[in-house]
This record gives sequence, structure tokens and C-alpha cells, in this order.
Amino acid sequence: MSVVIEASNLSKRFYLGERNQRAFFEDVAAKAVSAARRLANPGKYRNPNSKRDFWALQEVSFQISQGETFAIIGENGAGKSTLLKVLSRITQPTTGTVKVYGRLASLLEVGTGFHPEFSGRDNIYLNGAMLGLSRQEVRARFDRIVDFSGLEQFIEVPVKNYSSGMYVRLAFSVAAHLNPEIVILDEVLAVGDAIFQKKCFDRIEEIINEGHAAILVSHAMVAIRRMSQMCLWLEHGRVKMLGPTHEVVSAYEKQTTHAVVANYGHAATPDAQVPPPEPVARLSGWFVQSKLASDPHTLVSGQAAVALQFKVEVVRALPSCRASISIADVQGLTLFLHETVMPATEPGHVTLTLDLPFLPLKPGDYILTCSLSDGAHAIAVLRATPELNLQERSGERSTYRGLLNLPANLTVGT
Amino acid sequence: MPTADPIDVYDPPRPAAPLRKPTYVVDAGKLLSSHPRELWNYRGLYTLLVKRDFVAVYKQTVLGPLWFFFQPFLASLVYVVVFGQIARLSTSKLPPLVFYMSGIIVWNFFANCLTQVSYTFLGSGGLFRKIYFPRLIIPLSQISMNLLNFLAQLLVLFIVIAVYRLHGTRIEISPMIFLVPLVLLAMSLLALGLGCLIASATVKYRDLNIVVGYTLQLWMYSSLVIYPRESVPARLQWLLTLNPMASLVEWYRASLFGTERALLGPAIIGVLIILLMGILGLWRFIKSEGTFTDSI
Repeated sequence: MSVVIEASNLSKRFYLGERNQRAFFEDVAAKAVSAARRLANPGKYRNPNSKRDFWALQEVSFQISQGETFAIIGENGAGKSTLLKVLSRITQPTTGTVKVYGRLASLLEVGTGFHPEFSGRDNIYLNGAMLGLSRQEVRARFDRIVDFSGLEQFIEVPVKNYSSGMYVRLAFSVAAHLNPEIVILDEVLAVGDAIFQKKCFDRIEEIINEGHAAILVSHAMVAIRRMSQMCLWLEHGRVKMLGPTHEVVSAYEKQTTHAVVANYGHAATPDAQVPPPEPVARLSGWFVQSKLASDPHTLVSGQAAVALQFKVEVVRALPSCRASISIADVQGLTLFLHETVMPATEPGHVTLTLDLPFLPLKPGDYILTCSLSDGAHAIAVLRATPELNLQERSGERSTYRGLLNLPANLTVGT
Repeated sequence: MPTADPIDVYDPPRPAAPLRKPTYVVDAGKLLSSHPRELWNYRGLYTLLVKRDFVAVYKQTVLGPLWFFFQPFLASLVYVVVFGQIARLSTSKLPPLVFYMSGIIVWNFFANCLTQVSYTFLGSGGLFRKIYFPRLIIPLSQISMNLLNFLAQLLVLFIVIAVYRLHGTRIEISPMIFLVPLVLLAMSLLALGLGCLIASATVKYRDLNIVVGYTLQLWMYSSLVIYPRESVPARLQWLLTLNPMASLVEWYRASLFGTERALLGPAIIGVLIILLMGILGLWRFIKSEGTFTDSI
């Protein structure tokens, strides 16, 4: 297999601190001093590392082969975004080289070049051109892009009149049809409504299956395990581990789990849970309803009622059975499961709703599964994609630790 | 998968052929991008950006293009009163309105180019942080867009001249008019070079852009826009020689109307300064485009 990205010895230094008058004069002074030293000691003097320097990447090397999905994992601030920026020529590395064979495009950094006064049509051409396509290439893809976005009626309308959902749909549609040789998927997609999101995921899998190389950056280990073969683990800008995904992710999870909480029970590997697909029922979408929901699959943590709604398409007639909805963490440990009796069902659509007074969980990604069983055997296990994302309330200072975020009040008395 | 349509020219998904030569190389030692070949590859984007900005000017305002055409005309009227009637500056055998208006439109062209080019990193920073394309496309497209605007305003000037002719004032259009594009080219290069220089500096020092606005005002008054060379005392002539814009404005008006005799010496010095600025500006720009996202 041929190599599509070859990165060797990448380092990136950032300058921290503000640019103000003092910094300006310090700059000038430092330049003068170093120039003087250079004069006094030609050839030997090198600029010292300033205190404000911060190394976002240090000596990172790896290769990505054609047709491979390559994952990059690590804590926030480990250098994942910086690495992507270096790969896509947004910023220059301080040391090292990257060789890229083929067109590289990011699936999320799109829609930024849209001009509000222009129609959807004009913006498709403009966005395409920014992403490196010729006019002919955009024209060849135009119908598919419009078709995918589902915005046929609005394509001549200036995008300033679009809703934010329509805007993102158009942007994603352009990016999804670029046919780059290497595609970057940064974080799990949260685009549009549940149905469009499903479409996006299918399209991403299609792109990967088409034999393009992909770089996947995510905190959702489930997605990483499912989609990637090779994995790079960054820690403080350095390569902590590089190798087959299952090994790296296991090591990563072990470390983070130890670091965050004690390991409760046996965490089954998520993949082992899911039996081979049976065409009895299909999940056509899921979403969360709450005043805390920021999009169909994202919640902000807080104490308000939450309803998890599953739209299930029953393919074959079902006898009366047990239906359950479960919430598991990304390691696959079931945290909560609620069961009910579902009456005999004809083919068609049913909606299952799990009402909770609030969701007492710490921020993170959670796997939701809707299962149907006859008491002894599973009839259908429907895992919701994407995972539920529970976000930290901005500005909130967390006063708890652990898996649960229960409404609590700690008082001190004498 | 959607079914294939015979007239659909969409290229089918295919695994990329093994490539021997890298599409691009990011190297710490080398500068990013803006190679002439890559600029050429992105010419489609350049055309679209010029079109976008040009059309946007006409879509944004209530009066639309009307305001845009009248602005230099109105400004010229003010100058006619202030400089022509009150200060009584010479306008070298041209009707004051034509003299001021021709100067204002060409100065506006230069000033807008310089302002926009020096704003490249601050204005398009959001875009630059998301998508890669040769950054130089942005200033180049802005200069081209201003050139189109200038041509539109030149048309208005010719209408004014036609009205003068109808009323019996003969204003000759010089046969040297073919030199005007050369003058515009030189102005564009100056705006590009100086603008790129300022743009690179704004990466570190953002407030530099405010200075540009004030400086341009002062610069205009020293660039023969509202008075001809003959009004300048001999002991200050050297200042005009050091100012490339003074020579360029003079050459521009001389090639349009032939009422002034433009000097060759200051023009040659001006061109040398412009070339120096151009090289310096582009060099700084290319150096900054690789690292500017780190500090904004």
C-alpha cells in the first residue's frame, strides 16, 4: 500500500502571552540583545527558548497509507488540532516535514467562506473553489451536492436568509462531495436534524469505503474503535503510542479510566454487545428533548427533565415483547436500563420515549441502546448513532467527582 | 449509491492512483505556498472572489450603484468650493471639477487597494484558519475588484467631460491615454507591496490599521491630487520626487488630458521605490502567512 501522508519529526512552538506595549518593547530589547551577542560571538549564538514559548507538538512522526482510517486521540490540549493544522497547511511547523500525496480536505471546516449576500448556488461554487476544485469539477458535482443538502427550493435564495441548520447542511454537502484523496473528520458530526445526521454518517462511511484515507479525531472511543485501523495517541504534544487501534485505545482507556474513576465492574467491549444485525426492526433516528438540548444529540448538563426519543421502524410483525432503553458509558458499561412491555406490533413506525426527571451523569459521551427481547433472547439491539453528548455547563464549577452528578448539597455545621 | 445517469459527468469514486510525487510538502525550513504555479491553480477562486466583492458593493447600499457613482462627483464638488473658490489653487488649464474628479477617482483606487490589502490577515483571518489556499489570492482579488470600480468611475468622468463639451468647453483627451494602464499597474504594485508589508506587521501589532487611514489622508494632500506640480515651490520639489504617488498621479493626468508635462526623472525614481516595496512586501507576506494563525 502506498503512503499518502508521511510526517517526520514535527514540532510546533507557540508564543504565549499578549501583544501589548510592554511585549513590544521586550521584543525589541530581546532582538537587540541577541543581535549584539551574535555580533560578539558569530556562528555560535542561538536564540534561547523564551519563557512564553509553548511546544504544542514535539517530534511527532507517523505515516498514513492509502485506504487507511487513521485516528488521533488524546486529552484536550494534547496537540491534535495543531497537528491537523500543520497537515492541512494552515500553519507552518517549527521543525520537521510533512509530505502529502493527494488532495486533503476537512469535512468540518467548511461554510466559513460563505458570503451572506449570495445565493446557495453561488456559494457552492465559491466554497468549492476555496477547497481547491475547478469550476468544471464543481459543476460536475453540483446536482449531487444540492440533492444531498435537500435544499433544491432554496438554492437561488441568498444564504443570509437560510436558517443555521440549512446553512450547515449546504456546507457539509459541498465538503462531502469533494472526493479528496485524504479526508479529515474532526470530532463527531453534529449537523442538522437526526435524519440529515444519519445521512452524513452514511456518507462518511461511504467516503471511507471508497478507499480514501481518512484522519479521524474524536473523543468518542466507540467511533474510533469502529472506524479506524491505526491510532496515534498524543500526550502533551508527544507521541505516547502509535499502533493498531484496539491496542492504543485500550491503553488510552486504561489510563484515563484509572485517572478519572475507579474501574467499576467489567467493561465489556462495545462491539461484543451487538449481535449480527437482524432485519426485524431498524432505528430510523433518535433525539433528545429537553430545554437543555442544544441539538438533537447534545445536552448541557443540568437538572431539567429529559426525554430520549427513539424512532423505530418495525420491518416484520412483532409479537408482544420487552422493549428497553439503556444508557452506557463509552467503555460499554451499562449505567441504567429501563424496560417495558411492548404490545404486538405491525410493520410500521413506533416511537419509544424514555422520560427522566433529569440526567444525573457527568459530562461525556454516552451510548444509548434500544433493545427488543422476548425475555430470553434479543430480537433487536439498536444502537443510537451518534452517541449522546453531555456537555459541561459553561462557567459551572463542578463540585462533584465520579460518574454521577446527583443533585446534592453539602453543608458544614458545628 | 445513486444510479448512474448518462449525462452525469460526476467522476465515480475511485481509489487514488499511487502517486510518486507529493501533492505538497510542508517543511519547517521552507516557506508555505504562494508559489506562482499554485496561484495559477487557484485562478478560479480569484475570479469568483473578484466577482463576489464587486457584486457585493452594489448589493449592500440602498442607492446601490448610484451612490457609488456619485460619491466621487460629490467629493469633487466640495473640493471645487474649498480649494477652487476659497483657497484658489491652480488646476492647470482644466475645469476644476474635471481636475479634482480625475484625481479623486484614481486616489480612491489606490487608497482602497492599500487599505484592503493591509487588512488581509485581520479581515480574512477566520477563513485562513479554516481552509488552505494561497493567501495572496485575497489581496490580488481585492486590487482587481478596485480596478473594476475605478473603470466604472472613469466612465462617469467621461460623462462629465461630455457634458462640458456640450456646453462648449473643449477638454482634449490626450493620445497618450494608452499610458494610463501602465500607471494603474504601478499603483497596484505599490498598494500590493506596501499593503502586504503592513498586513504582515498587523499580525503582531493590530492597531497599525488605524494609522493607515490617517496616513492616507495626509498622503493624498502631498500627491498632486488637488493641485498640479507647478503650484509647489521649487525648494519642496524634492519631496514630490520621493513620493511615487505624486509622479504617478501626475503621469496619469498627463496621459489623460495632456495639460501637464509629466517629468521622467521622478517617475523612474518612483518606479524603483515601487519595485523595492513590492519585493519587500511580498517577501514579508510570504514569511508571515505560515505562522500568522499562531498569534492572532
